[in-house]
Amino acid sequence: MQVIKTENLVKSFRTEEIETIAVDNLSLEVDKGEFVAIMGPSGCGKTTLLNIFGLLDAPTSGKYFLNGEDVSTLNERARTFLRRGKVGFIFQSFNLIDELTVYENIELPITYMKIAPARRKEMVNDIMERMAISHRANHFPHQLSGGQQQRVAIARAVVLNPELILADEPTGNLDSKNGVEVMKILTELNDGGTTVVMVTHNLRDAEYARRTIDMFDGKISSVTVNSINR
Amino acid sequence: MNTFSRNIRFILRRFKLSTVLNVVGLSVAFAAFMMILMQIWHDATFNTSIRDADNIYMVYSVDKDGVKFTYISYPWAENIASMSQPKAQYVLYEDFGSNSQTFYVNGNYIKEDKINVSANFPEFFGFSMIAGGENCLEQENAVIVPESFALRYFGTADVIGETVDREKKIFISGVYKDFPANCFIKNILYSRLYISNTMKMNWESNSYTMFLKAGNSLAEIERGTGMDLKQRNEKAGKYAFRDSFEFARITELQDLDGVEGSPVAPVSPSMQLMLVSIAIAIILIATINYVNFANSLIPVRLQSINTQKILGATVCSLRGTIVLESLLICLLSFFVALGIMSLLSDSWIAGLTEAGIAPAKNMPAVMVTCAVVVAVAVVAGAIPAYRITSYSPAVALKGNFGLSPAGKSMRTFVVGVQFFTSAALMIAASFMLLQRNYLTRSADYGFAKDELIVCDIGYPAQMPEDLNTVADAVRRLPYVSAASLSWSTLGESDNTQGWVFKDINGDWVNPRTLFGEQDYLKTMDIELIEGRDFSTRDTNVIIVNQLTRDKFPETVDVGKKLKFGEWYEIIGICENAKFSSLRSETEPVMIIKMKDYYCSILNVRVVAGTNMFDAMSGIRETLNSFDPGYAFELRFYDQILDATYQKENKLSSQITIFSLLAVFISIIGVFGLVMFDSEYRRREIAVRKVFGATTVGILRMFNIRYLSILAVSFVFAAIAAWIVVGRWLENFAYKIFLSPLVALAVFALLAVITVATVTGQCLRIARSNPVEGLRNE
Repeated sequence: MQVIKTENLVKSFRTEEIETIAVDNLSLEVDKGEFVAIMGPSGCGKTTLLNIFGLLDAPTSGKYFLNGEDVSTLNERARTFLRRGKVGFIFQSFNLIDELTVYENIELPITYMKIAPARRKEMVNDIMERMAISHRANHFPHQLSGGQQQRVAIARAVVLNPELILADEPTGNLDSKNGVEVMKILTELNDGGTTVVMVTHNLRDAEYARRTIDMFDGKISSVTVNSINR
Repeated sequence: MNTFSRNIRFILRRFKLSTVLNVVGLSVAFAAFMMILMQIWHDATFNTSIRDADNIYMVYSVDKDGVKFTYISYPWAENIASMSQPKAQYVLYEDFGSNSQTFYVNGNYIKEDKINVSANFPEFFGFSMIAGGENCLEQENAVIVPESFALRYFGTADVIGETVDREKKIFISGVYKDFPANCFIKNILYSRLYISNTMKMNWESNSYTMFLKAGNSLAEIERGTGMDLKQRNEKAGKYAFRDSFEFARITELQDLDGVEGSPVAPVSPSMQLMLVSIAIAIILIATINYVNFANSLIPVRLQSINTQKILGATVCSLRGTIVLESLLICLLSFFVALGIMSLLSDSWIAGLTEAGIAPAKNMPAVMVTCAVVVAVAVVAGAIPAYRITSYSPAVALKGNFGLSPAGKSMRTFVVGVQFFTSAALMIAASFMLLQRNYLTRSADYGFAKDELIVCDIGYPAQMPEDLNTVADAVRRLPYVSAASLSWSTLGESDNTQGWVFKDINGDWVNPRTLFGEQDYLKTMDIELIEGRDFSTRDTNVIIVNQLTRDKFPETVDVGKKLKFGEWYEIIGICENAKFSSLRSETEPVMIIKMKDYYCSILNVRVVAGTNMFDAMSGIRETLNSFDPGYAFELRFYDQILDATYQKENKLSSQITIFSLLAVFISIIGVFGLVMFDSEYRRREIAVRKVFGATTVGILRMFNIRYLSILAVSFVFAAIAAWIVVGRWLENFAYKIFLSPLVALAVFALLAVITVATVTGQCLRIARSNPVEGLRNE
């Protein structure tokens, strides 16, 4: 079953003078449980595509099916409700909220779901334990190392056990040791059945994926099926 | 200087709206501060324009019950002045509360105030005479007029010899230069006070107010008067009613509270304190707003400032530049404030303060405000200047310092202070407006005032000798249900008379005294408890209120008689209506109908449902049939009470306006903070949206934060307002209940304003695509 399917997807940005096409007539399918890496030079449309996959942005034209449902023309509110609990995001710069503690940052997605406080606590504690950051629960992001911050970001992304994880250069701000650790976590999640779509510049990280899609000027230039490097 | 102008251009370009809002907020704050200072200066310098003011004292008495009053008899005045050697100079005047009289000038009837004063009054108070000498009141039928009067009615100050009455008897003997507004000497007409030989001998006829030039002899006069009074009281035994004489310097008359007959309405210290507090609060709010604005620029200016540091600028010069920027913006706001004040100096706003608001006429207030502006500029500039230059350049060039926990706490506190001030002022203003409405509209005066029209038909209107003829003519009008003559207007002032009657045993019966004619109770709709109302045939009869009977249970009742020269029969007991203003408790009162007492106020009760304006013009027509062309003064009770509580009305208007200004400035501050907050939390908003927050959810989050601050601040504000308003209400014997509903209404209003401001400001960011927020990062 396909989690993601696009048909002739186009995303363009228009300013007063010029129109930039970030995603150009792109058709793609990602199966449930797949780990896909998207690579390509800066400005080729990788992050834009990921944002569309995550329902953060709407395509200019073309079709986007999420779990078989056409979501290309949904309004912002509908996209928000659809995203809740189903899609987890991991960013290069972590995007943790400075004023919230580690615990509160991880709890954030759950606060938008109707989940009882006791259950909420249990979920956050479970994921903190899994990510080995329980001892940092009451710390603020600026008190953590980069690796720890990314582990918190991953914990936040997966605390609701989403079907799809979208990771935008998850190791971009990390040293190699922490980078490997993050990739291992993503692999484990994928092994558990979660679909992972990851944008990366790093060839070594891409090797963790089953399939690597290369993009150039908003189009797929090549697709490689990887021999698994885990 | 280049750096300075570059920085200013940067701020104006990048933060146009914030800068404009701050200039507007500061300008309004400076203007409000200046207005309050003008009022405070006006109060503080009260009467200081009078020559030798420090040596002039008003004499007042305190009776056995602690009641203070100015009324004094001629023999007592002479006696007091003679206590020093040589005899102290003094003046008397005769004040009946309402001194408005009709004059006839150049073929027109005009209403002006006139009081009778001692002949040496101009010299005593140092009148600056433009025409005529200081002794111009010595002549019979002479009046002196202020320059403004002469110019208004004659177009010139050269008016010596002009007459001001229809009989052309009263002539102008002098023109004096107008006194400033902050002086108890009103710019009115003054005529000579003639004291009959009888009055010169009568120690009990307390008809005058006395001013004494005591100077160094005050202690001697006080001692002598005290001893003399003691001896006289011992002699008078139970008939002694004066406990002491007091002497109040005329520069301090405003501080005197509750002295009946004082020419100056007291200025309550709590109200002065409140005005000062409002002035400080307004400046504080504006300063906080500005400091906050300047602080909010730190993160965006950090890089440019520290780049300049790296390139060789000294910390000192950078700090100086930032303070200079602040000074420029504050001075700009100050000049805008001056412009606003000048523009409004002829508008109704000017009436808010007794001093007016023209900057040119209130230079001390302008100078003080200017000093405050510089102080605000230095504080508002120094704080961010210090902060922005205290980071190491290496850290500053890559850091984001917008939302440190300390900064967040500071902003929360700042918003709290603004909400506290706004809420406290709004609650106080609401209660003051309610009290004002109570005094003039909703209070139960014990008589029905809604269908009453009050007409002054006294001299110089040429009426029949028996004014009851006029009353009868008015009674015949179809829409008039009753009409009655009286000496004074009920509830208008505290200046009733105090005659001393004696009962059959010779004991004193001395309630306040009013004078009325037939149908008085019926006309005023005062409930009769026992007995009957005045009739046409009555002479020398009295109606007393219930309090009088309660105070003199043995001697006062229907059918009993009291003596004042002749015997007077008590024919009725009525309810305790409010005979004086609501500032004082209802007192024992007797209403007297006696032969030949000049009752020239015609009270007319109109049939309910009649158009009052039609009724008024009908009554005026009837009055004109007696004296065609005469400008009769007819008033509704609302007008009378508005005039009575002018001081209170002015104060509540001041507090209301300044409260609204404070709320406006606070909301500008909150607006700025929300703008800052939402801008700097764009990334957070984006992250929250990525993880499932909706636009409504984001707005809710911001609103809850600000409403929580409002709620906490409001509790403190309500307590503070409760205390201050409670103290103010102590000035009134009759007052409103401090209902918590008022506070709740203020909370609701502030909450609505807050939600509107927060929602309006955050909506754009809350609705924006989260990708935008993350991309910015």
